[in-house]
Amino acid sequence: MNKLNLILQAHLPYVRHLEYPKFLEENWLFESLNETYIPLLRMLERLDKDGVDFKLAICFSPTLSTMLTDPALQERFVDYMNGRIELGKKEKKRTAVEETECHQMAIHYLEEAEKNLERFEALGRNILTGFRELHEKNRIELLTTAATHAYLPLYKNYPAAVNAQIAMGLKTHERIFGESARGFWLPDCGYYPGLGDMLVENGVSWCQLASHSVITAKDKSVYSGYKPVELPSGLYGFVRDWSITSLVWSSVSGYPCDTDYRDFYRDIGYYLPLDYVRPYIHEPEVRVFTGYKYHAITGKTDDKAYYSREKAMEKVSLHVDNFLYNVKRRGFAIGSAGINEPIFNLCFDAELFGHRWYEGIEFLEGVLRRADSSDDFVFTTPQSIILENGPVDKLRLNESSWGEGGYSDIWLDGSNSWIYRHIFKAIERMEELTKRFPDQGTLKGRFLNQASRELLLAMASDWPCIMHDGTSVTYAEKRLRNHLGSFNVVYSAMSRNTVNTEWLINAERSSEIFPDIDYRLFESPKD
Amino acid sequence: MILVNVDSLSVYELRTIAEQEGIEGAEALSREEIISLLEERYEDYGENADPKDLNLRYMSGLTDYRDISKYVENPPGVEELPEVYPDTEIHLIKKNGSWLYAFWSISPNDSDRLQDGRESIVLSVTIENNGAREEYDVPVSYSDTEWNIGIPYGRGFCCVSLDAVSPDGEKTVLSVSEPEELTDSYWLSHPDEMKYSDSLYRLYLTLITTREGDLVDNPVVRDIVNLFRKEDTKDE
Repeated sequence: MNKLNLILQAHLPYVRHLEYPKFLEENWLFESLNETYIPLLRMLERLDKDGVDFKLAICFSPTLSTMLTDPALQERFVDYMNGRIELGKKEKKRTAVEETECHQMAIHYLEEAEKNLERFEALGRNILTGFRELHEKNRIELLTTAATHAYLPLYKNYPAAVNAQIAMGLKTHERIFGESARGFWLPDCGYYPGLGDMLVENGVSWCQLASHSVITAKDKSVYSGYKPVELPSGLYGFVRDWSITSLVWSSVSGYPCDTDYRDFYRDIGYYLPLDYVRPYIHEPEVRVFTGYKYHAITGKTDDKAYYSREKAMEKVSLHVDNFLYNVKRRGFAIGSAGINEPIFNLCFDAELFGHRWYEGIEFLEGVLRRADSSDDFVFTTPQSIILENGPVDKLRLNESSWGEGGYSDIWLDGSNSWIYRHIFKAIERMEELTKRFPDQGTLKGRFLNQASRELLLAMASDWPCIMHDGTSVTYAEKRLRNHLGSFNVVYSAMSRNTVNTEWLINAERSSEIFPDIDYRLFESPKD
Repeated sequence: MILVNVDSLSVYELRTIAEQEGIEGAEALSREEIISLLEERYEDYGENADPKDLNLRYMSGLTDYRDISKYVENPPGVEELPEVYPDTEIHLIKKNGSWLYAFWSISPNDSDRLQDGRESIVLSVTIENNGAREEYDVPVSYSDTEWNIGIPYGRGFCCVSLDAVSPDGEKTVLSVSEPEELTDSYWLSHPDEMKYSDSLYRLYLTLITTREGDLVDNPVVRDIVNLFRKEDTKDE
């Protein structure tokens, strides 16, 4: 029997700009809701209804779950969906007479958008209640991650800041889901020696680890990552199986690269006449994705073939078989090396499925259904594995991540190294403020709480990652400067023992995250 | 990729980078030749980077190729970040198993005082590896703020300090970093056991190798695998 731990990480940075009627980066959330989170939930609910025996673990990051439960963003998502549905109706008419090859897909997109919106409304606009129900049925293990998905190894010299990220992540999970998380997704698999102690002190029992962490460990491994690792702190680590995940994740040969699958980039927002798409793109006339995409990947050519849903679904079926075949084959090889019931830990960004790889949700559904009808596979969760009390590998690991090169190169390079000078200083100053003002209530307490909120938001791994990738760099830099600048407003004012009330009210309004934060989280353990 | 300090790296460090970048024969090249080749290589990366690589994190998938940053509205600004902070301090962070990144600041007061006294500044590097200690100084200018430090694998640590050196050679420590642990891998320090660990080695490879036979992207893994292969060849 091969045991599979499917661990999905759903994360987006906190983006909320109600000061604008529409804000481009808020579409990150809306696209993910419509193309990944709601379709994923609907698929899992379908499996549950059909009596399929499945299990998986999902991490909703605190920033994402805050946005998913924010009434203002929920309202804006409904507007976004109404726009998509309106465009879908126009597309249905247009493709009945021109580009008729796209007609079926236009109908498909429209119907999917209507179903997604319907499900969204039925859940009281909070999709997390749907995932929570599945959790209560023991189908899903819910876990959390660092408060703003900070890449923790770069902050290891600031244990108070790391602890604040961990504690606030767990607290937010508890506030939103009503119970403590036992699993903690290490942002970008970023691990360093000593991190486990802090996680255990906060009540965490397991985390996921980068695939190379076992072969490069300080100790000799026996199970090579096919059984849980027990770290010196007692924390369990589940090692990502690169061999199996790369079947999906590889940019060269992964299933999503198949030429029959839908192309991510060719979108009518970019090629239909401006007058037609204007209401659905960004003002003034910035062409963006509308979600209506009718072409297949086809190959490295601009001359893309029209997408065929039937062909794509045939490929999904083949890829499901191929995936399980590869797991089984690996299972034989591992069994012959004396390891029975190997555990394959499959860690993915959730948004890959549905949004980035359009057919990804159907792929997951196929894998879960076929695994259930076979005696060779069982999907489980890390917490279930821990409760089985089976064999473990006791190891001391080196620093590692799942980023390029396996270390911190993505978050520390020529494009982003300048940020740490400012963030480290802000952490030192936050620690200083907790020492100088150890017991502030009411207004000063709120002021200090806002400073710690801004600091956590500045620590998000998304900003250096975007700078490294060279994508929305302007936005990332502005966000970072804005959070650190806001932090400095508090620091300067508190140094003069004053509170800027008007500023505070505006700042609290603009970032409605971590309502239960306590600035004393940043108390240095050395004090 | 940190490029800012390529000009100020030692020949040894440049050769290591060149090797990592796949430049052959770097041992025989001069410092200027290596810098020139590395610059060409980095330019290539910039031109050939494929923005549609699925391996880029999801965030990139949302934002790449749009080229719309110029249209993005400014979030309401509050304060500019300061150019300098009023403290003299040094930090050391691990970039990867072979490189550390040091950055520092000298407070305006300290800077004025030291320059009035005609004192120079050095970055003092200490590496302790398997009980052996190596110490060296890198002269830096008052306008320098960062440096990359090459480190070996092993059991030990590296730390750096920012020191002022008076005209008569007397050193004063201005600030010391926290130590950074070196990468200490069992297999790098036990190659003698490799020949008895063939089945374990194959098991390791099973987890970290793609269907096409490509290893997970990590230099320590590559070094370990090369050692195992060397042991295999010895047996033959």
